[in-house]
Amino acid sequence: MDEQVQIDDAAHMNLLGLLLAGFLEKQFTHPRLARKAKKMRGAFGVQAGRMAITITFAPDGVHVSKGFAKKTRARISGSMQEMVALVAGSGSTIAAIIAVLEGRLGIRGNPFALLGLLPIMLKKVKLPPALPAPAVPAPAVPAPAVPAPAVPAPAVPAPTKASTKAST
Amino acid sequence: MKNRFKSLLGNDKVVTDPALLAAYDDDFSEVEPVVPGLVLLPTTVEEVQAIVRVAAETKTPITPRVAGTNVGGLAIPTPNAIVIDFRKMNRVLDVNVVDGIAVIEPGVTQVQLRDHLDEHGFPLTFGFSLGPKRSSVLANCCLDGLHNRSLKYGSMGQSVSGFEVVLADGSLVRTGSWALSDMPFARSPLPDLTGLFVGWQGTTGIVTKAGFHLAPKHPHSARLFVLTYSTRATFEAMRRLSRMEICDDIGGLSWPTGKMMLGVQRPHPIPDDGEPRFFLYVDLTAETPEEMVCKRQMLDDVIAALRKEGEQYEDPLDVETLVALNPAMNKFSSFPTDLDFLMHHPGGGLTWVGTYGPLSRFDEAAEAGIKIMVEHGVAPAIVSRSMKEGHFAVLRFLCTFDRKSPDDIALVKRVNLDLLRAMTQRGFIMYKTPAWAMRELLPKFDPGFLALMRKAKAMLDPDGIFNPGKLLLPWPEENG
Repeated sequence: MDEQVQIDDAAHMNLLGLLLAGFLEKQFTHPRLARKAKKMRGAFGVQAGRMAITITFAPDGVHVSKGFAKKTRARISGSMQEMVALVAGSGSTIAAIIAVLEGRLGIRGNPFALLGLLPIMLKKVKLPPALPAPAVPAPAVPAPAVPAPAVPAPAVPAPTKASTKAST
Repeated sequence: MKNRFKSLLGNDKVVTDPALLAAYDDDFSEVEPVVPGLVLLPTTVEEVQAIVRVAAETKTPITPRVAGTNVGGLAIPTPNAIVIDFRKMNRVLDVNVVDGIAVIEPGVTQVQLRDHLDEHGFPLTFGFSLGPKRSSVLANCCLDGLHNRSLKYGSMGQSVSGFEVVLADGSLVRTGSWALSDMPFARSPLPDLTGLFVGWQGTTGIVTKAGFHLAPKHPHSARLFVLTYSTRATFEAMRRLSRMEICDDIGGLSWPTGKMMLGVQRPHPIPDDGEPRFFLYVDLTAETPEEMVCKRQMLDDVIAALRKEGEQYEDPLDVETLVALNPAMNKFSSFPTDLDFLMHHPGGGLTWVGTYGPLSRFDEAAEAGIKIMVEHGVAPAIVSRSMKEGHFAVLRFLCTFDRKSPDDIALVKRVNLDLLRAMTQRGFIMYKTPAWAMRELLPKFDPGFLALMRKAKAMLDPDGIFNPGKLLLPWPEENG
């Protein structure tokens, strides 16, 4: 079963927490990452720009809360850009270490604890190409159940000959 | 009258069952529901003409409707009125690829027209509103809404190149170049009678066909999000980018709108310290990769210049990256889209004050609107978009609410009224204007303009059968 991600006080949660909560939820649809998360314990601080959150791995699931908790195993901080690049970028632990060494990301606390967290937080996604990407494909979002008038919706008639005409 | 319509249209096009009629009584908004007396589903223009003739003879009000997704009560009928449900008149009648013109019926939906163009491989697209996929393209033309190509083309009514309209006596008129040519290629050069049916909310005639301009679909596209930290940073970037003519669309979503998209139904009205205030989104398209690279560079240059002036921005993020970060951002990755977070929440209500106004005044107007909403304890959800190359723009304040809660309804009514007054005071004008807002605005109209509107309305709809209760003409209401 997927690991549960709970946002503590969603109405007050900052954008960083909301973005990362959705990211973790998606990550935990992968059984391997969900298993890893289940085994992890403790709180980790993440700061992007001036927004801070704490991700706590607990027996009842993963909690995302606003600000830094008093006790965290480790904290990672950087610009919003660096943080997005970290989690949605190359997906490489090496890239994360390089970012730390170059000072683009800061860490405090136990770096080895962060090494345990990184596999959960890094997702290999296709990098945006150097040249422009093609048109974004239509999302596979299921159509919501919109309350339509209860009259049976008419089938869209097949296009008439005129309607398919391409004037040249 | 029911039997008369049954003999004219056939039983299957006449809805009399009270349970089915009840489905036509409302929209998403706080406007009071009204059950129509009858619903008719015509399939031809001749049937619409016949309906209008009977309605004129019996002085029965008519309200046109397609998806019922309006948020100002504009498709809510008056008691005992006829609703003409246009969902069966949903043909794409012509697409002229060379001239980029489509001719459609009222029931054609956004997703239907997009699919039609794509399935036929036409290198064309059109301006999508942020309304649901199943909402009517023609209705957005008639109501002069906005769309994702408004930056270049202006409001939707400005894309209309001609209408076919059933008038109050049942006769038919074609406007624009259609008056003389076999093609509705432009509203010019004859007297622009198309305008008699744009922005009139269905109160001057029943539009049965629209010709309108499509836009070229370029092979390369990118949607980028720039997180900004102040209203000035947001709208100054919007102004500068609008003038550069490199973008297809530039819009701004305030932080609560972003949070709602990310699943928070009622965000707290006050932002977190250090939180971005707006998602500025920018659409770029190009014929070649090199053109796209150039446009990206120009966007980066604008942001770099503004940073030097002290404004704070994050670097542009590709929508694909954001979707990789959080799948909820998918809602904004492709249009048309269903922004279901606005409609599918406990209570299901959605209302707004959407205005068109000069972009030069946006910083102050947005701040004023935010202040009003925060004072009422409502999260200031804003959607804005530059239009017509920055000559004007849309500033829209959204409220979701519980339609079953009288307290919630009373609250959004107060918020809307305060927002309307604040925006009107700053020279902004509400579009798709609901009756409650018209009641506020009509006394402030230029007297000559109002007199001319009244004359036009009296001439085109002498018996007041077309969508009464909207625009509130003739004015004052007691004269109606």
